[in-house]
Amino acid sequence: MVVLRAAARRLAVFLGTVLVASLVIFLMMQALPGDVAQVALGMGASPEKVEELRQTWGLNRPLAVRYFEWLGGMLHFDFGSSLVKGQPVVDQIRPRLGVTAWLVGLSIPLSLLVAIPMGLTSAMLRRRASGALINALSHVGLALPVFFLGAVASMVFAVKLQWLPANGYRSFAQSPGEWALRMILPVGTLVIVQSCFLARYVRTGFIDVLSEDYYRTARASGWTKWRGLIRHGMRNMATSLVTVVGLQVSSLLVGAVLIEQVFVLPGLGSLLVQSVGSRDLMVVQAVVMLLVFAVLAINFLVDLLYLWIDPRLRRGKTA
Amino acid sequence: MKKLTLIVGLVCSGFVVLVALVSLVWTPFDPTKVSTHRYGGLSWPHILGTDGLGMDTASRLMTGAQTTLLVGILAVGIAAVIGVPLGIYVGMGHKMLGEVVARASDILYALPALLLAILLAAAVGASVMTATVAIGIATIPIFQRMARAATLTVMSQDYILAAEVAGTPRFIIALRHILPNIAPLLGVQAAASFSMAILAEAGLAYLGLSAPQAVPAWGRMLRDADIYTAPGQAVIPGIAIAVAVMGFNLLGDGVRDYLDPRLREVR
Repeated sequence: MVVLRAAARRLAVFLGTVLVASLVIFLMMQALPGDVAQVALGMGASPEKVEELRQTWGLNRPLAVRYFEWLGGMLHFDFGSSLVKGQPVVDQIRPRLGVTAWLVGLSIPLSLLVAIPMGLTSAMLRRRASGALINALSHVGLALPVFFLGAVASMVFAVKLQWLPANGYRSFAQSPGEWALRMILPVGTLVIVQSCFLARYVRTGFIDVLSEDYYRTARASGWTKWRGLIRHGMRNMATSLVTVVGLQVSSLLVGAVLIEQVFVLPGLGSLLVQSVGSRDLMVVQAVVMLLVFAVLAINFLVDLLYLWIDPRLRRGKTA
Repeated sequence: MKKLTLIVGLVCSGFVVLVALVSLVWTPFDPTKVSTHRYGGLSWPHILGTDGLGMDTASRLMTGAQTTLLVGILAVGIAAVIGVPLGIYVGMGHKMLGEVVARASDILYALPALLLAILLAAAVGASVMTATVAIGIATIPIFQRMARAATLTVMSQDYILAAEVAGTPRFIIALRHILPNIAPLLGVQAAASFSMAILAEAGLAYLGLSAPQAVPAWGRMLRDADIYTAPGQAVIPGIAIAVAVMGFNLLGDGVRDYLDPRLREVR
């Protein structure tokens, strides 16, 4: 019962946050200087033409009406129509959703797979040169802009060595082999940067475990260092790691936007950048809302997961 | 070993500051002067070569340090000036407002600096200023949360109770007792946020959402570089960004370790 109530509370907060976020995004797009219809038609358009377009797009109706219409439309995947191309926004988003989802979806598990052993090793060997080296490497990886790393990777592996295609995308359905080849560099770049970030948290988490009583007891009863850390350390680290991974989703989405630009991948990020360029506000508004929703939804799931991993939180009270 | 963090941080960030200061009075060439000498290699007098418009890379790199530092200072300044007082105020005990601020923080936190900057760029046009303001706004929650958490710890101290009993106005308590006690923590956060801001601005510039081509900025230089014909023009600003980001990151870490020996083993 308590678990259910705690989960319900989180759900309410999540839905409320989504609602407020949508309002903020909508209002920001409304606060634009200049007339959307005027921008779409160009500066030379006659006032009558502009007025006509305003009528067609329903721009003359009250703000509240338009907000609720937009919100209601999104509930059944109607994001309105593109102001530039005229086609429904959802048709522009759908083919691109897969690219970004693959990038983020592959990067999260892979970077954990790299970060956990990396952090564990650097925590265990922290007083030796090799551990310090790993730590230093993670500092360097953290400072490298993801687009720079991507550009260098493409320079080395695609241009110089010609092992992999430099850019472009094939869908998985078209050709799984081509798809995999074209995902190696973008995903690899994201994983390097992400795992350097996560490894630092993993390292801190394991170092904390080293000073815990239960770890000392395990050691005293004859367990080896590694066994103690892996059997006891992992579980205790899981909670904080889950939180960090949740928070990282937003930075991964940002990373994906940049990586799509580097490797010319037709994902949500490149759609967003293009739409800003052509001032296609309906598309910008829809994609930003979608990305913010994804971040909030994943944070909500992380909250639930947290509740499941850490029994202490189930007693309620904590937000 | 731990001293090393501080030293490397000081050297890297100090170098960036020094270069920016020197560029105020002297650069080898005019950083915005276009010439016919395009994609020149590393040779005298263009020691770092020239870009696709024939502008001197070394001069642009030096002047770019100014842009980088300006972005960092302004973004962190915006975040701290709004986030810290809000955090202290809420931390000193305002339950209702606290809940509102916490929720607002959560929403802002879900809106990455990049998305905020994209919204702003779509609204008022792309420039270094919009990018910086967006990054600053997106950083407010970090300072707000940290100031609030630190204030909560300080509030349970006896000297706060003493001050309250003595009838010291709350504003004076905040200014004289709380702020000095949480300042070191905020300073460390400022260094970390500084490098985050630099990295974020570089990313925005790379997407074409910050500096226009004429303005010397590292991220923008990377965007305009053609990695196939002149890879050096992309590598040089990339390394500059990495050095600045790492420098301020290590500086923050180093100062934190120096201030609080208990934290030395952590992270």
